[in-house]
Amino acid sequence: MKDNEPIHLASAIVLSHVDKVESVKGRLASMEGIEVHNESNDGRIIITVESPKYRDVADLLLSIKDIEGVLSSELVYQYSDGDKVSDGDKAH
Amino acid sequence: MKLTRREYIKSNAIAAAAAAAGVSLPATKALAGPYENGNIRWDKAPCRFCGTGCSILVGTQDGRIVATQGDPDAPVNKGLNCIKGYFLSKIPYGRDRLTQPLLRKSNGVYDKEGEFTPVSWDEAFDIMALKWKEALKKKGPTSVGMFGSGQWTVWEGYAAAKLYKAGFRSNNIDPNARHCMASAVAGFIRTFGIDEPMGCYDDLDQSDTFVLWGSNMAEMHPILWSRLTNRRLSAKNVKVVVLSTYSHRSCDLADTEIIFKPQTDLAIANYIANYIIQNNAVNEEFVAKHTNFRKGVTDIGYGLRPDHTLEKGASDAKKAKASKPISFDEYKEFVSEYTLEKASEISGVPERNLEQLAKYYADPKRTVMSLWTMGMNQHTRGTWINNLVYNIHLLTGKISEPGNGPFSLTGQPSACGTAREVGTFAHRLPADLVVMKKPHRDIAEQRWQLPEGTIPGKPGFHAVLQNRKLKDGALNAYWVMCNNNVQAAPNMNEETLPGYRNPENFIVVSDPYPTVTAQAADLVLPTAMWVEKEGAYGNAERRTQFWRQQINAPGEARSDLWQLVEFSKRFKVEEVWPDSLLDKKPEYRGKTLYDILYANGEVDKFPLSETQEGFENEEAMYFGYYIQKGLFEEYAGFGRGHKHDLGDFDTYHKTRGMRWPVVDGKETLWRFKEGSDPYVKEGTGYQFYGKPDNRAWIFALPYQPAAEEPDDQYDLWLCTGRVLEHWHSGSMTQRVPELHRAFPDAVIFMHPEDAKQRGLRRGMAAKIESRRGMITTRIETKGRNRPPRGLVFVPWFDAGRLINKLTLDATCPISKETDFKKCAVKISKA
Repeated sequence: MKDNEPIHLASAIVLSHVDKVESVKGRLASMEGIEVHNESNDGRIIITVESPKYRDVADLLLSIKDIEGVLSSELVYQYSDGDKVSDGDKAH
Repeated sequence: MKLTRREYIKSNAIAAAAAAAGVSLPATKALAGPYENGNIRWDKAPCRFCGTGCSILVGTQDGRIVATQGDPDAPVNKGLNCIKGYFLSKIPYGRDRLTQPLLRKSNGVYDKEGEFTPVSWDEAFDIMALKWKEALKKKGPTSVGMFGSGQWTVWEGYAAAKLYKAGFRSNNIDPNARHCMASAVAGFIRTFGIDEPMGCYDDLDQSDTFVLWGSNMAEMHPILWSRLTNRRLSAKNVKVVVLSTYSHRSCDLADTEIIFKPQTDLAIANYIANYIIQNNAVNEEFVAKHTNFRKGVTDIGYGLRPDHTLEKGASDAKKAKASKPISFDEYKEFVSEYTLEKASEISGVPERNLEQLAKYYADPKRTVMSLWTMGMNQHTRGTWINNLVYNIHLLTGKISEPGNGPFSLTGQPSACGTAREVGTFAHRLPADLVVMKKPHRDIAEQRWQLPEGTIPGKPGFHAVLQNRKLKDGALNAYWVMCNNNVQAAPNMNEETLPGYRNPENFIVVSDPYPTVTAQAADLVLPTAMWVEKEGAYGNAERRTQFWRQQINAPGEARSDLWQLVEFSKRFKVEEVWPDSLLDKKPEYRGKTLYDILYANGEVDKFPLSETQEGFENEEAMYFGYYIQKGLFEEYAGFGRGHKHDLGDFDTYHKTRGMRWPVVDGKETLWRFKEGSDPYVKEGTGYQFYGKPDNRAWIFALPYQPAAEEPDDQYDLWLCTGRVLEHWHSGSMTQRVPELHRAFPDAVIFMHPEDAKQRGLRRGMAAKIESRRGMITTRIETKGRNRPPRGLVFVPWFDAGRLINKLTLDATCPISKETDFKKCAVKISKA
C-alpha cells in the first residue's frame, strides 16, 4: 500500500465465551480484512479491521456479532481519511 | 524506527484496543513510533447518538474529523464505543447536507405550494418573524409553538424554553423526549416528587440481578450491555431476566426469558408485589419509615381525541393523575388478586418463570437492578408501569444503594440534561419547576428579571396535541428543531401531515439534513451539528458532559443556539407583550426580546477572553460574549441549593462529566440515601426529599387492556422500535451508506408460522395495514428479532417505509407519551 492511499481502519475488542476463544479466533482470522492481535485469558480478543473501502470495515464489524460464541464486539478506534464526502443513500 | 502512515495508525489502533481490554501486547506491536505527519488534534466529546453518554476522543486534521476513539479516561465507556461510533466521524459529511436556508416560493415570493428556493438568513428570518407576528396578533401566544429535542445542547434547550415561555409567553414548546421519556418523568415525579434515576451506571458493575422490563439493551445501549455482560460473566450468582413482548438479542444472555402478551407487564408487576407480601419479604422498617400508600384513579382513557369512543366515557380522564391515601392493608388487599395463576393467565407466561423473577426481587440477600426504556415508557399506562416497578423496589427497600435500584435508560444524548432538567416540556420550567404553580413561575420570573405574570400558568400543547392543534388550525406558527417528527410521530397520515400542510400554518424546520419533516416544511434552516459547536449533554445517570467546537459547519449552516438567539432580535417587546405587562416593567419598552432574554446582564456577562484559546466558538464570536457560559450559569442558578446542583462551568470542560447534584465540587452517585447524598440528613437513613414528608409513594394501580388490541379483522399486534445500527429516524445514520447496507430497509419481523398461514415466506413482499394506513415491505422470519405468534415488529428508521402511517396516537393520559408498541394490524401478500 502506498503511503498516500485512503486508509479505513478500526480496532475492536471481541468478547468470546471462554471455551470458544479458539474457534472465534479462527473464524475472525479467516475473514478478509480482519487481523487478530492478542487475547486475554477471559475471552477478550483484540482485532483490527482494515479495507480500502470505508463501508467494508463497517460490514465486517457488524458481522462479528453473528459469529457463534461471540458475546459482544465493541469498537475502540476508527480512522478514515478517504472519501471527502460520504455517499449518502444516493449510493443505493 | 520511522513508521509509514498506515503502520502508525494501525499501531495506535491496536494499542488503544489493548489498553481498553487490559491486554498486554508483544513489544513490537506496542511500539507506536513517531510518524512525521501524525499531527491529529484529539479532543473529547460525548457521542451524538443515544443516551448512554459515551465519551469519544475526536481526531481532527486540517479542520476535518479523520478519527475517533473510545475515551480511555471516561468512566461511562472506559475506552469502548459501539458500532454507531464508527460512523460519528462521517455524520457531518453527508452529500445532501443542508448549507443554506430554503423557502418554498413561486414566482419569487413565499408560497406554501411552491418549490424550495435558496434564500439568505435575513430573508428567512424576515418571513418567519412576519408569520410569528401575524399569528400572535390574530390569536395570541397559544398560536405559536415549537417542537424541540433531547438532542439539543443544554444551552440550546434553555435558550428555546426562555424564548417561548418568557419571550413569546407561550408554553407550546415540547421536546421529542415526550415520545420516549415522558412516562419515566411522570413516574419519577409521581412516586418520588423529583425527576431522574437515583442510582447510576456503577450499579451495572455491582448488581446480582438485572431485570430488563421492555428494553433491548444489547442493541440499543451496547456499551452498558457490555458492562452488564462483564458483570454476568465475572460472578456465578449473577442472573439476567429479560421481559419483552418478543425475543431479541438481549435474550441471548438471559437466564430467564419472559415473553409476555403486550400490556400485561402491569399484571406481572402487581403479582411480584403480591408475592413479596405473601412471602413475608417486605422490608417492614423501610416501608414504615419511608413510604406512603396511594390508590390512583383508574377510568383515565387513552389520551385520544376527546370525541373518540374510548374517551367519551372516561370519567377520570381530566384528572388522570389523581390519587388518594390508603393503608398498607388496603394495598395488600388490592394486589392480592394478582396471584401467580392469574398473572400467568393474563400474560401468557409460564408460572415458573414469573415465580423465579418474583423470588429474585424477594430474596433479601440479592441486589436487583431493574432497567427499562421504551417498552415501559411508550405505553398507554406508561406512568403506571413505572410506578408499579418502583413499588417492588420500595416494598423490599432495594433502592438508592450500590447494585440496588430501578433505572430508566434514555434514548437521546440529552433527554435528561436538556429536555428534562432544563424544562423544555409544555408544563415545565428549569429544575423540576412547573408552570401550573404560581410560586414556581415567580421563581423563574425573578431569575429572568421579568415582570410578574409573564409566564402563562396553563401548560402548553404536548407533542401529540401540537399535531392535533396544527391540523385543527389553532397552532399556526411552528418551529421544529433538532428532530424528525413527521417520521417519528404516530398516525402520520391522519394527525401529522394534515397539520404541516394546513394552509393556515407556517412550518419551519431546522436540521442538518433534508429529513421527511424538512420536506413537509415551508422553510428549512440549515443547522450546525455536534462538534461544529460548543455543547453540553446530560446522560441517563445525571452526568453532565461538555465539548468544544472542533470543526466548522459547512456553508451557511448555523447552530440551533445561534438561530434561536438571533431570531429573538426580530421582536420588539411591544409586538409581543401587552401594555398591562409592560407597565410593570416600563424600562423594557423599546427593547427587543434579545435585549430582555439574552443581553440581560447575566447571559452576556462572561467575556470572550474566557473562551478556550485554540478552539473556535462561532456563537460567542458572533454575539460578542461567552454566550454558552452565560446561559449555563444563569440556568444552573435554578438548581444550585435546590437538590439539582450543577458544578462550575469551567470544571466540566476539564472532566469527563459529573453526576448532579454536584455539591462542594463532589458528584452524587446514589441519591436519597444517607451517606451518599449530601441532601439527606444524618440519622434519617433515607429521605425521598422530592416529597414534603420525605416519603416515596407506593401505588395501587390495576392491569387494564391496551387502547387497540387485535381482533378478527386486524389480527396481529404491531410493535415498532429501533435496530442497533440505525439511530431513531435514521436522519444521520441513513446518510452513512455502510449502515444503510447492513440493514437496507425496514422489514416485518414475524413468526414463520404466522407468515406461512398468510401464504408468505421470508424475503417476500407483504402489505402491512392498520385502520389508519398501509405500507409494503419484506417479511423476515429469522435473525435478531423473533416475535411470538400474533405479534410483528417493524423498525421505524426507514424514511421509505414509514411505519408511523399505521400507529395509533393513543398516549398515556398522565405522561402524554404515545404507545408506539401496541396497535392492531393485518398482513397479506403484496
